[in-house]
Amino acid sequence: MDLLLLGFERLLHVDIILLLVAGVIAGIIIGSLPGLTSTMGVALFLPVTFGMDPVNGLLLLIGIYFGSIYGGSIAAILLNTPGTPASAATAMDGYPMTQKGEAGKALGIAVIASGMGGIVSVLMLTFISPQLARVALNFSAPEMFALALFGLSIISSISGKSVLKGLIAGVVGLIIATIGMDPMTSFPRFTFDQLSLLNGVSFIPVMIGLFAVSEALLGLEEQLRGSKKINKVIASYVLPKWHEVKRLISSMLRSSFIGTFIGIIPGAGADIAAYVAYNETKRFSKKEEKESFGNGNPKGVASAEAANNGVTGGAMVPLLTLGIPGDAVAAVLLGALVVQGIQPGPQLFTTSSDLVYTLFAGMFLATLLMMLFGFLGIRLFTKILKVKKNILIPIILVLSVIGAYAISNNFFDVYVMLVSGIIGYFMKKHGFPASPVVLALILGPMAESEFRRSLVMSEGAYSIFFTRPIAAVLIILATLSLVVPIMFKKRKTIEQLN
Amino acid sequence: MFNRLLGLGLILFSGTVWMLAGAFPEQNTSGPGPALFPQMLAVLLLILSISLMLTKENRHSEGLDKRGKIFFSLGVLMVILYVAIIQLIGFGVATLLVTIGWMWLMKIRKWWVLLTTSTLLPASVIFAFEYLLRVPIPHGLLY
Amino acid sequence: MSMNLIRFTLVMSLVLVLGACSNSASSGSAGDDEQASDFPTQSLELIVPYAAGGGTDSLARSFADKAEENLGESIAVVNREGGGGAVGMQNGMNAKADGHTVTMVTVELLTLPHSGLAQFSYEDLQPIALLNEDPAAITVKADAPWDTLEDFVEEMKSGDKLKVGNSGTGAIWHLAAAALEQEVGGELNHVPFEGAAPAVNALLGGHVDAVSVSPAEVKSQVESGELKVLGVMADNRVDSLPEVPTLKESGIDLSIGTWRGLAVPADTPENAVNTLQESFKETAQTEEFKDTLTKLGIGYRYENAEGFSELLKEQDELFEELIPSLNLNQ
Repeated sequence: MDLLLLGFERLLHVDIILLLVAGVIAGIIIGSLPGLTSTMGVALFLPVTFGMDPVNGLLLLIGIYFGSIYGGSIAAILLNTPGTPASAATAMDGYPMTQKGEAGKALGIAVIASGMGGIVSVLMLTFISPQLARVALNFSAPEMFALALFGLSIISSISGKSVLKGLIAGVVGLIIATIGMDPMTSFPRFTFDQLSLLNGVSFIPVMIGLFAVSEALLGLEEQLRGSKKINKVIASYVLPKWHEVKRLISSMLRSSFIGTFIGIIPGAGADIAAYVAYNETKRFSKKEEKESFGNGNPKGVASAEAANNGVTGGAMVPLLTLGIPGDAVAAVLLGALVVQGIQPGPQLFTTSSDLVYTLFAGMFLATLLMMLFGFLGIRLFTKILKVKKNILIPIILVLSVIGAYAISNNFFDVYVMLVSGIIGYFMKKHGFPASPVVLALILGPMAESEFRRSLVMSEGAYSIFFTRPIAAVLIILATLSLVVPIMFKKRKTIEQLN
Repeated sequence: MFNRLLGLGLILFSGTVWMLAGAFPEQNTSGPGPALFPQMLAVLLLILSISLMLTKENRHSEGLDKRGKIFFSLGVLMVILYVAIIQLIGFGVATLLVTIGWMWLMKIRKWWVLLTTSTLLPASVIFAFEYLLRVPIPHGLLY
Repeated sequence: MSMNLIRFTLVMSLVLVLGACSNSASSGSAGDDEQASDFPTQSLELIVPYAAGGGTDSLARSFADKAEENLGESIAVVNREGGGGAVGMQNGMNAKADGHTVTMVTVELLTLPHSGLAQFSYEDLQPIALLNEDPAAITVKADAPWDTLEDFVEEMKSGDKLKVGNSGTGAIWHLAAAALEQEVGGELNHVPFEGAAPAVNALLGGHVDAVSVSPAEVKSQVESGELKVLGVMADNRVDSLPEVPTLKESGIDLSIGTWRGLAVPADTPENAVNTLQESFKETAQTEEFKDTLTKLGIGYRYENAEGFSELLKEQDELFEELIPSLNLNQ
């Protein structure tokens, strides 16, 4: 604790605070632009930090990281265009809230939940990270497979009206996810000799297409129809009230812990955490409330945001204690550390404890700044909704194109985005949900490679999935959460028929 | 009708996936090879598609009138053209054109709105991406 | 209403005409092959075939940063990922051969074609400078029963299949472990991961017995005493681990690893190649650049165009023989 206080003291310099402020603001902007992910934001600013003092440079990057994870939710809530994959889950309830005229409330909840997720994860990072890292090391391929399967089982509960259509979307997504080099043998599957397909279909262009471009096409259709809905400005600046927030606290706390833990596990990042937490919140809520998920339930926004920000601190745990990056952003941060001559690992806490605790203090501050600018920004962000739709739609379209291109400077991705956009439009027209496709693209490769890696390690013995307790429990839970909603729906339709 | 057609299409798709995956080589380490997942998913999709074909149709959302349909197709065509010509003439000019085109489709007729939006949009995107973030933007022959 | 349609058609035809114009214009400008008598005449582009933030990217960005001053033109780093590096390298080969587009190439330039994953050849490029080399190494847990490479090799031959983590089938660390297998006549259970970091993580958790990644990738865990390196697959001991023997010292003639360097399209004019070579040589040999590599944990090795060409030729022969013998299903 003393060390942490000392860390705060070291932050009290104008230049450090200014850098954090700059980082958080830059992060929020980067995060809100489609195609610019947290990883890219941090990587883009990495060279800038080469010439800086270690603490300053790292805090700038941390500011960008924390800011961008929140920033992704702004576009997701207001325009149904997730800025980063981590906020795809936020859009599921955030955008319906905006449609109901509760944009300000949704953003406010997102800020509070993000802050809570950030603070919980930084607290856990500060006080119990070595122990947590040890637990995460026990996760081997079978456990990772079970986790991925658990994540995939969510498909049936995020499918909206028709579970069947959701499952079809999910399975098609999983098939698309097998395109590219096979994770075990590197054999090119379904690539048709296209170099750009060797690494598989990248899911960010697909996500931009399914969410943003399809939305733009629907908007165009709406305008052409000349329906009365146009230009009915639904911007509102109503912040969430205390009693509304109070109802969300338990969901936010649970999601923060889920996010932190998933962040610690290498290979699982903010996107997965948000979906898992969303599903857990839905599971824990009352039967009659379950229906409102996907139709603008504040709990959906709160849990997705608490979880994806929880990942931020979680991902730092294996990075700082073991020297192993838990996700892509952490890998870039690892680069930033070593360039500064800091070698992360267990000895870091003893050899440079002052640096470590300054970083922890900086993360607290970054979270608080993110909340501050998040709140201050709400009024500004919601102004977007005052822009007439027929001006906003072309803007979304152009941003989608450049966002898809910017990910890897490959025009192939833009075509992928365009095709996904057109498919996404028809999916929406015919009641097929888009979220299962994105979820399948995120988790499909993980599920397959961990499944087959387990069997390589066990030399072909399937018992590996059932003799390991964590794996076995997760697999059973996954099966239950896949089957139960289907049964639930079935029973309901039967009741209705009767 | 739609469910049946789509179901049929998906069945054909799953059949293709199954066949293509059948040609994948075995894995020389222990455990299932590259064909396992695609083939498993193909079977799953087959089952789901059949259930889809058996599902009752729900009503359609209101469609566009004939003129609307033409305009909508034009909008889609414009986006496809836009993506195609970015590499040729560059992001800046292509964006200017597509923005004017789409806003025109959506009944904006005020020339000053058309002009300011279509110039400010590419300008600010290029400024933010290229100058602030140093992410390269494709500039063709015309910028 | 029809008025709108007419107006719209006008806008659309304008778009089409412009598209057509630029088409003819592009074929025109491609025709006049301007001789790059002065070089450089404009800013350079450095293609990195991997994602921003990775090892190759950090190397490229820190080099570009320093090379700019020397060359007197700015160098923009462009990440073109995809195809395990194939997309970016292919892009670099197809770039205008005037020396203004430089590509960061890696060992995958040779391994991808032999694995049947890419159709290009290293001869499509003119090498300019080699900047880095990192050998493979055999790393185990600190409390593992093997203390020397000999112990490890003995265990390999005993018939117990040791699990060795690598960064993907056909990737360089898998090739290294497979080459070791061939060299000593033992058998291993190769466990592919998505990159080196998850493999090291599995080793720390005790889920695999060893990893065959570079010393740099296990440096911090070795320093903290959790892992130990039994041997490096290089001709000489590496600077960061001077006490670790090479495989040659244990009587195994195997030297394999990754490297990174800069290249331009094969038919780039000679004066541009020369200018680049001179300028890059100067940058690569500054203490500042070497320091940066040390900090990044990347091994330093400079070779000029000639030395780099030789390395490419030599290694191409190695992989031409090794990869088909592994029967990687391609």
